[in-house]
Amino acid sequence: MPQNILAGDDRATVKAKIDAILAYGGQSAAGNNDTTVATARLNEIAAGFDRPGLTDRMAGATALSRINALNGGPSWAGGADLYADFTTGQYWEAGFPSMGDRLNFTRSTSALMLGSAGYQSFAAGELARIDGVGAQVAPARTNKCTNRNANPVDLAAMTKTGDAAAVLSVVDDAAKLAEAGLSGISTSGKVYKLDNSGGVGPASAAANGSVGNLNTHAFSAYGRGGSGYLKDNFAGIPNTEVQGKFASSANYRRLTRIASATNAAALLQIGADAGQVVYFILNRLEEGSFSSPPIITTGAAATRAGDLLSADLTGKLTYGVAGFIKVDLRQPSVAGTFPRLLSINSGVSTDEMRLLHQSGRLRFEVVSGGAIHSGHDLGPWQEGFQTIAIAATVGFSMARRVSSAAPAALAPASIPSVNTLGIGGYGFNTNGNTFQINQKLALFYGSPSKPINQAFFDEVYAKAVAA
Amino acid sequence: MTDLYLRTTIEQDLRDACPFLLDDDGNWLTDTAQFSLSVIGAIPPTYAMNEDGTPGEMSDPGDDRFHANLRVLDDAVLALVPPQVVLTSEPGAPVRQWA
Repeated sequence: MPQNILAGDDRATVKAKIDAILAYGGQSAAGNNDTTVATARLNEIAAGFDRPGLTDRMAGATALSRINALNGGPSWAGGADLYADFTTGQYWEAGFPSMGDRLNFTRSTSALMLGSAGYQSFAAGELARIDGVGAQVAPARTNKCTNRNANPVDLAAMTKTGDAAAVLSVVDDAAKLAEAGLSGISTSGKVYKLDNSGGVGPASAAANGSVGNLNTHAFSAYGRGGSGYLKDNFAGIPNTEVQGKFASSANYRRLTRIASATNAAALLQIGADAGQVVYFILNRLEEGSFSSPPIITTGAAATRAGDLLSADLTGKLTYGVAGFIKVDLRQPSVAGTFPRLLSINSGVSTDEMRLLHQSGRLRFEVVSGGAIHSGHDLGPWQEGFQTIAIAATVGFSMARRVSSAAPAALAPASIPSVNTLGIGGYGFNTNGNTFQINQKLALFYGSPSKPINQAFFDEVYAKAVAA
Repeated sequence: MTDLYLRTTIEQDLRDACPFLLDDDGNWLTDTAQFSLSVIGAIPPTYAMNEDGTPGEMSDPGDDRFHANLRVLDDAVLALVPPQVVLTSEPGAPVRQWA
């Protein structure tokens, strides 16, 4: 129903009309995402505030600004100035109707991603890894194995060792690959089969491509069949450790062992216990403390480039910012590199508002001119799903992980001049990347009519809880 | 997009020749909007394996020199790479590729 403000309306009538419009969250009608009519009405309301006799215009304008009604934002954006739901593809920012118009994605290679239903699927080079589970941002990773790990044609770069009765071969296993959601990657349907059914001792298949150093590595593969183990060929990682053992399974599942070899020339070995038959594919040897999505090799080690995900914030945060991010956090890439969940910066880390991993803790910090003006300890770093709300402006900063206790507010003497939003890292390079799957992100820009303070942070935190 | 294979005698030589590949803390920059860098370092030796799974004779001595692959996304970067650190011909069997 039209809610035109008329010259003769008294304040109670104006308020009733505002309420009627806002009941639809800024939309012209329930379920209608065309905000044109509602925006026009609300602009009339704003103009109405200039009528003689109204003395509290600023309060009314502030209320409208806070719900972003004057910008015509859809109700699902919750009044945010920038909102992204990576699980549904919904994106809102004034003047930028779609995510692709606004967010910048860069990755110089193709990549696999964990899709909905646990399937692995491809994202071509320079395309964001976004599927039903969210936007995946990761550091660069190298698979040091040199065999053809997705579509083997022979036993090149693979060596069988152990029980002489064991047989290593390439066989068709297309049906089981399809069941595991791997047929889009292993398109030939071929896998490695290590048949140790006649063996009386363990047997292994070693993939060429050494660890190269003694740092922590993830040894992994998709495997099925009988029981076996992941190890290296220098006995630095014995085949009897509980961590490296895997039980029999009729279906493919990811096998992973995190370990450090004792010799830089050590190779990945996938073993079958005596009397067992093991099928495997997509083997990989990655330096790092966790196994990332598979990296395809075709006869040499292969590097998957890191993801850059950013947005331009030039001139938007003069009066500070509040917001929240809902994310599935995995382990940081390398301890000590201070990976960022979120970084609002000027292209350098000396001017930055950042959510980061530091010494096993999650922190929110405001850094200006290289000096840390406020630092909020949000507790131990945690893997898995979580939502964190933040706010920062001159004289007030706050951050809180949803469902955790509220920390004390701080009062930074200044905030940096910023122009870049980095999601999952700096946004301008991947040295600060975490491995994370982003689900929702909302930013609210401060303004004279929308001051960033405790009351506003509490509103944003409530939205984070509901996200 | 241009792929370059970089090689210097030691790591410091590449740092000195290509400071734009480092961040403010001296760490190698792996990815920016202008390039991606995959640092290989020395190529370790390869060993044959004995039937019992233990390492056997060295089949390839590796290469102690410092290696890196550079994928250039912005042609302006090409002018920053000194020619003496770039292999003039692509290796017949590169030890590392881009995914």
